[in-house]
Amino acid sequence: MKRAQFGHSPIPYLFVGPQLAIIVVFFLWPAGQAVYQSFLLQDAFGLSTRFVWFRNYEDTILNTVWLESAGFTLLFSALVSFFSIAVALLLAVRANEVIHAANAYKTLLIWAYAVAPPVAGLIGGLMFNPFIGDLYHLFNAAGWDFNHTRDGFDASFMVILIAVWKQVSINFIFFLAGLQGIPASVQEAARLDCRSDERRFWTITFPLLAPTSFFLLVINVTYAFFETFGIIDVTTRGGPGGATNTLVYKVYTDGFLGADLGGSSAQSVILLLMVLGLTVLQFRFIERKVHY
Amino acid sequence: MADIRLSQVEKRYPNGAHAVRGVCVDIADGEFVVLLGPSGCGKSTLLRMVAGLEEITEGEVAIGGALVNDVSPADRDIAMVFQNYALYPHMSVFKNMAYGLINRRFPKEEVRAKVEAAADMLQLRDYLDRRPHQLSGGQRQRVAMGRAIVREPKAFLFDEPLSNLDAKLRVHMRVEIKQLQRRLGITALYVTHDQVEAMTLADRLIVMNGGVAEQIGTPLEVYERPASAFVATFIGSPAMAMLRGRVDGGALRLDGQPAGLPSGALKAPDGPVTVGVRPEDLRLAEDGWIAGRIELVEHLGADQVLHAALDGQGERLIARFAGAESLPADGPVRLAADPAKLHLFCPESGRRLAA
Repeated sequence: MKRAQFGHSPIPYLFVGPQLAIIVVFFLWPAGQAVYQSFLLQDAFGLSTRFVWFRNYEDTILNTVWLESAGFTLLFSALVSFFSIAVALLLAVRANEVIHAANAYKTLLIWAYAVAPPVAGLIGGLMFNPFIGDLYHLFNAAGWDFNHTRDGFDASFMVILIAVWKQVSINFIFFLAGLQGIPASVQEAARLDCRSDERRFWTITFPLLAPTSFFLLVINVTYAFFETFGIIDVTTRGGPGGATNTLVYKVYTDGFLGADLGGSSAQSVILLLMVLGLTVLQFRFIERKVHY
Repeated sequence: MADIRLSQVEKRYPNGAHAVRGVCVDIADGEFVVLLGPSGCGKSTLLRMVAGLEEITEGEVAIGGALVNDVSPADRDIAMVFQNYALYPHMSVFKNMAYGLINRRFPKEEVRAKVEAAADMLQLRDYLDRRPHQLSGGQRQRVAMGRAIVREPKAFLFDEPLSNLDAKLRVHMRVEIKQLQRRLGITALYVTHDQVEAMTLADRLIVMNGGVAEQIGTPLEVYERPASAFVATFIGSPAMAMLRGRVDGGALRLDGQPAGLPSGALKAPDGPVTVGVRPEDLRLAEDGWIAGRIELVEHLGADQVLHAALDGQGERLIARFAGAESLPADGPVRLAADPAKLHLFCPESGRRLAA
C-alpha cells in the first residue's frame, strides 16, 4: 500500500534538534574520540603520541588482570540481574495479592528507586562499616568471619547485595504494572482450571509477564555493567586486590588514575562491543520465546 | 451433572456494601436458570460466589449435594464463561481448552480426544493451532465455550457471555448455547441484563434488584404475574405503564374519578394502588377510562407503538397495537384495558397485591 505523502515542514526538525545536538555532543563525539584514542599510545605526560593500530587492544585482551576483571564482571552482572529480577518478581507478586494497606507496601517497596547508585553505595558502605556497620556486626555475630576489606568473596557479596537492593525497586514497579495489566478474568479463569497456585504462576502469570521480564533483563544487564560504577567507587574501589574490579571501573582507574588514555579507550570500546553483543544475543534467543 | 442449592446466601464487602441479601434457590439437575437484573443488582456477585471467586459472607452454597463454601474454585467441578472470554492469550486454542484437563492429570490421548470432540461440536477444528488474538469475536466466544464443555463439569456458569458480540451473532450464539446445554444436559446458571436473552434461554428466571431475588419463576410466570412493580417494569419491552390510583370498594378510581370498571372487578383491599398495564393489553376505546394526549406514534410495520401523556398524572404510558390502522399523530386519546389484565401493586412496598 502506498502511503500518502504530505509537504514537509521544517518545524519537526527544530523540535528534534536539541535532542540530536545532545546525542552528538555527549555521545557520538566522545565515543568517536574513544575509538580514535584507542589506536594511540601516549607517554605518561602527554608529550608525544604514536599511532599504534591494534596494540592497545592486544595488550588489553592478553592481560590477565583484564581477563580476571572481565570474568568478575560477567559473573557479577549475571548474579545482579538474576537476583534483582527474581526478588522484584517475588515482591511484586506478593504485593499484588495484598488487599489491606496495599499502597503503603507498594510505596515502601518503590522508595529505594529514588536513591542514586553512589548514595546506595554510601548507605551500603555504612551498613558494612567494620566499626559501626550493623550488617557487618550481624554477619560476624552469626559466625561468618565477614570482612570485605580483606576477603574478595565477602567484598563481591557486599557489592552484589547493594547493587541488587538498589535495582529491585525499579524492577518491582515494572512487574507490578505488568501484573496489573493481566486481566483479572484471565487469572480467575485459571483459578477454575488449576488448583495449584505455584503451577498457575508458572503457566499463566509468568508467561504473561514475559515481555516485562525480557525488557527488565536487557535493562538490568546494562545496569550491572555500567551503572554499578557508583556503588563500587564508593564502597570497595575495586578491591581488595581487584576482586570487585568491574570492567567499567577498570576503564576509569586505568584511564583517569593511571593516565593510560589509549589502553583505557580500547577497554571501553571492547566493553561497548560486549554489551552490544549481549543485547543482540538476548534479542535473538530470548525474545523469540516472548509472546507480546 | 448436579443440582445447585443456595440457602440464605449473603454477601457483604468490607466497605459495608451489601451486595447479595438472603438469596434462596434450588436449581434442579439440568435446569437452565438465568439471573436477570440491572447493573449493580448483585447478580454477577451471586454467580461468582457459586464459582468460588467471591467468598460467601453467610449462607450455604451446595453443588451436587456437597457444601462448597470452603472448596476452592478448581475443586468445585464447575466451568465458567466470562464476559470478555478470559482466554489465555499466550496459548493456542488447543492448549486453552486442554489446560484444565492437563491440570487434572488426564492422560494425553484422552485430553486430545476430548478437545477434538469439543472442537468438532463448536466448529473449531481448523483453528486449534491459532492464538486467541487471531480469532474473531464469535470464534473466541466458541473457544470459551469449548474450554467449559471439555471438562464435562457439574455446572456451567455464564457471566454475560454474549454482551461483547454484535446483535446478529448474539442471537446466533444464544441459540447455540441453549442447544448445547440441552444436548449435554448440564445445569447452567446464566447472568445477563438483557431480558430477551433471559426470556429465551431460561427454564427459570431469578430477577434481582438491590441484592434481593425479587422473583423466581418461569419466564412466563414472571411476565404474566410479576411479583413486584420493579419486576413488572423491568421485564417487557416497551415497559409496563404504571398509573396511580385508589381502590374503593373493589372499584378503581384514577385521579378521584371512577375508572368505570365494574364494582368488585378488583380483588384488592381499599386504599392507594399502583396499577400496571402491559402495552399490548391496552386498546383504543371511545369511552376508555384512561385519558391522555398522544405524543408520538411509531410505526414498526407489524405493530404501532403509541406514546401518550396521561391527563392529571404527569405519567407517560406506552401502548402497542397490532396492525397498521391509522392513528392520529396527536390529540386526545382514550384507552381501556381488561380488568383481568391489570396488575396491582402496593405503592409503598412495590409488592403485588392479590389480584
